[in-house]
Amino acid sequence: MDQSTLHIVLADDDPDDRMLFKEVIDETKVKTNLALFHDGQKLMDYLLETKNPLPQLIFLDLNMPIKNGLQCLKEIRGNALLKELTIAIYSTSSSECDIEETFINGANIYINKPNSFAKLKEAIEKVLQMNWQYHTSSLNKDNFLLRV
Amino acid sequence: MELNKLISTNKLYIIALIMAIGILLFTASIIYRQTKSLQRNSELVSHTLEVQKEINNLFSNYSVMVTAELKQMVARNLSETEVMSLHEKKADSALRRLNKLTKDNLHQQVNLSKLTALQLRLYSYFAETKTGMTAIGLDSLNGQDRIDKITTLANEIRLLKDNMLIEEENLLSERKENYSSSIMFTPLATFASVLFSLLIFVLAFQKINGDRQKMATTQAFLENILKSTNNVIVYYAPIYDDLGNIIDFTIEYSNDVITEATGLTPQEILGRKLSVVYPSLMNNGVFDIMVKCIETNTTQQIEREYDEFQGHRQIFLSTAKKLEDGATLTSVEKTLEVMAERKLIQLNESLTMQNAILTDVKAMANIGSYRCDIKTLKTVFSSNFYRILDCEPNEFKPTFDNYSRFVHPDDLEAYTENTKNIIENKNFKETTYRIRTKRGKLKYLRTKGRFENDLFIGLVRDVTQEFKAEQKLRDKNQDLERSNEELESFNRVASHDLQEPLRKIQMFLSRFSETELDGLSEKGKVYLDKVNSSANRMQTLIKHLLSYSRIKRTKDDFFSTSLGDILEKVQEDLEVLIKKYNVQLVIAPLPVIKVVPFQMEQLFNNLISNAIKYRKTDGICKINIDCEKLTRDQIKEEFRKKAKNYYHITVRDNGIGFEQSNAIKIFELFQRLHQKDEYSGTGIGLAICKKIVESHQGHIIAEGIPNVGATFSIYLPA
Repeated sequence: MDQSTLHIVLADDDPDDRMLFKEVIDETKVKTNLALFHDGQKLMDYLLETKNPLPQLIFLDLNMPIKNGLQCLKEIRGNALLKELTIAIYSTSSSECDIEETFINGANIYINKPNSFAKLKEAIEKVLQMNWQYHTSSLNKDNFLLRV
Repeated sequence: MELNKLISTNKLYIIALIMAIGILLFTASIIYRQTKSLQRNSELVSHTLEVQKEINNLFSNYSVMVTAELKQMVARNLSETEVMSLHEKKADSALRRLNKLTKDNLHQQVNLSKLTALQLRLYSYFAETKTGMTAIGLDSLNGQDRIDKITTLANEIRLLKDNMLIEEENLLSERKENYSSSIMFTPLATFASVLFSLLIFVLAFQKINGDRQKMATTQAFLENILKSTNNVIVYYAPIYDDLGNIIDFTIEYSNDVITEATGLTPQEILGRKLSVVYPSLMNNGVFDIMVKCIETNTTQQIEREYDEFQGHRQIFLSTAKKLEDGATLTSVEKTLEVMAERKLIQLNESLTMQNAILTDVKAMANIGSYRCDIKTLKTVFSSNFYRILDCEPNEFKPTFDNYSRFVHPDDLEAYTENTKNIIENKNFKETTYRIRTKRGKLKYLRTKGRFENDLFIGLVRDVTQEFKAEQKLRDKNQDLERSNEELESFNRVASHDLQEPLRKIQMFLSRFSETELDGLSEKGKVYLDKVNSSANRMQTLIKHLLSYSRIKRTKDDFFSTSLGDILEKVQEDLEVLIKKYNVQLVIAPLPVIKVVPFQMEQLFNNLISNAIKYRKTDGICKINIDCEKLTRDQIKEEFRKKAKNYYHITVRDNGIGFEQSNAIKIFELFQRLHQKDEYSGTGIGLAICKKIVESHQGHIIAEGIPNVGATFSIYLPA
């Protein structure tokens, strides 16, 4: 796979959100390779299949059937091979509770699903261009939630 | 009693003595009379002897004269004339004396008159002789015849003399007899009366001696009493004024106890005035009862308190009794008794009170009690225990069998076990069991108890109400938990499930207006705009509702926070607005208090954005935030003030204000004072403010004047 191509995955049970996300990714100038999953279980199956290349960025919805986002997060952080993966939470929920829990469990950033396409595009572009090494080293509760 | 007897026997002896004196006087008078009669008798005897002597004297004169006559006649001369005239005189005087001596003797007087006649005849013979001799001589006289005549006369005189002497002899013997009988009787009477007097005196002496001994014993006894008694005994002699009123007393006697009672020795007070020694007694009624006792001769009593004698409170009961002219005051110290009595009365009163209170409390608290002797099983129930069972007091005999009939069948086994434990093992544990009262009411009873030796004292409390209340509370709690859960799920629905489709609508609207706007008519564009703003509005509404419902009070969220820092953050958040409308925000120094930081942020954010939103379109928008510390009492606003001190923070603006009549309404959910198109808003902002302040145990009020401005006052516990 091309070094310049960014390998990203999205686990979201909402087909609209998946569609909109794909539209945003398609419109960005960054060269990406996007894989979409309907639920957490499918994501985990993919990640745990060793022949599959590991993504550089995982967008993880929280409310999903079968296996939800938080479970996935915990499993990934609990897996020696996967724990270094960058995880962006991508959820409608703006509840303090969800934000805090995902922060504690090692998510790298929290994106509230915005309510306009322009904002969504802005958010995703921001995340794609992020310097994760720098961001993770200075990660705190204030910069955990992405402000668009 | 003894004394009375003594006095009555004394009276008897006085009567005896008077009688003795009477008898002695009588005897003396008799003796005097007898002596008098004796003297008279002796006088009479000597009188008789004198009469006899005179008679002899008289008749011897006669004999001499007769003899002289006869001699003359024989001698025929008058040689004896001189002798004759001498004896004639003597005989006359003797006759006169005799006549005088026998004046009171009738017999002798008769004899004397006879004698006088005989004397006259004799003298006439003598005169014949004399005359005859001188004139004719004696020869011429018939001598022998004359001699015979004189001799016969002399014989008659002698006969009379014998009669008179016999008479006197008789008198003498009679008087002698009288005299001797008198002389016999007088010594006897004297002796008898002396003997009797002696007897009386011996008896009197014995009596006096006996009395003297008795008196000595009594005196010793009295002295003993006076010395060994605890009573202060003082004898007072009254002092009178000119009008005869008692004005003071002199202390005449006191026993030693007075030293113990008043600190003064008897020597120090004897002879002194009451008003000088114990002035307090003059005014406290003791003086008055002494006066009264003397004036009315009655016994008077008085109980008084004294502080002046020994430096502490003493109580004396004094009894005044009249004795001769003065009064004896006997005082007994009753301090301890009276104090003890007063204490007892007090204790009794408080006990009665406590008992009454206890009974009331038991009735009010629905507490019954019982005592059970675990040896004899004798049990007593309190009246209230019966009442708890809907029974009249003592309606049934409190035995285990009788009582267990009330116990609920399901609890009977446990109750029996418990009772067995108490009686057999002296072991008691608190239990709650059910009973069915006489009227069939179900009651929950909680028992408590303890052992006093072999006595078990149990308390039974009717906890039905509590039990029911608890049940009710538990039910309510369950309801609350359920509704909380419902609220939670509503929150979830609102936050996620409601927002989700809304977000989609907005998302696709934005996508639509980006890509498809050109193909739309002008009208279509307006419609699209309306859809957009409605969707936005709905989103705001949901967001606000959520934040409103999320304000919850949890202790863990409270931190000591600087309100100044909070306001800085709020200013940052509202920077765009503040700059846009050129708002002058003046903030006084604010305190550090324990708050939920993000709620405070929301509070001030809402208040300031409100002030900006309702600014006046002309002029500069000014917002002042001030703060002062007040004590609870300084705050006039009515709300529950738990804290002592409060911070009073005001947010004052110069905006459009509002009618004061709406001051309460503006804090209500979904209440708006303006048209939607005039001022955008959900009507939740101030409701959120109110909820935040109240969850901080504070209070918020609004004051408004239309077109002048609005002031929001927040009170927060310091």
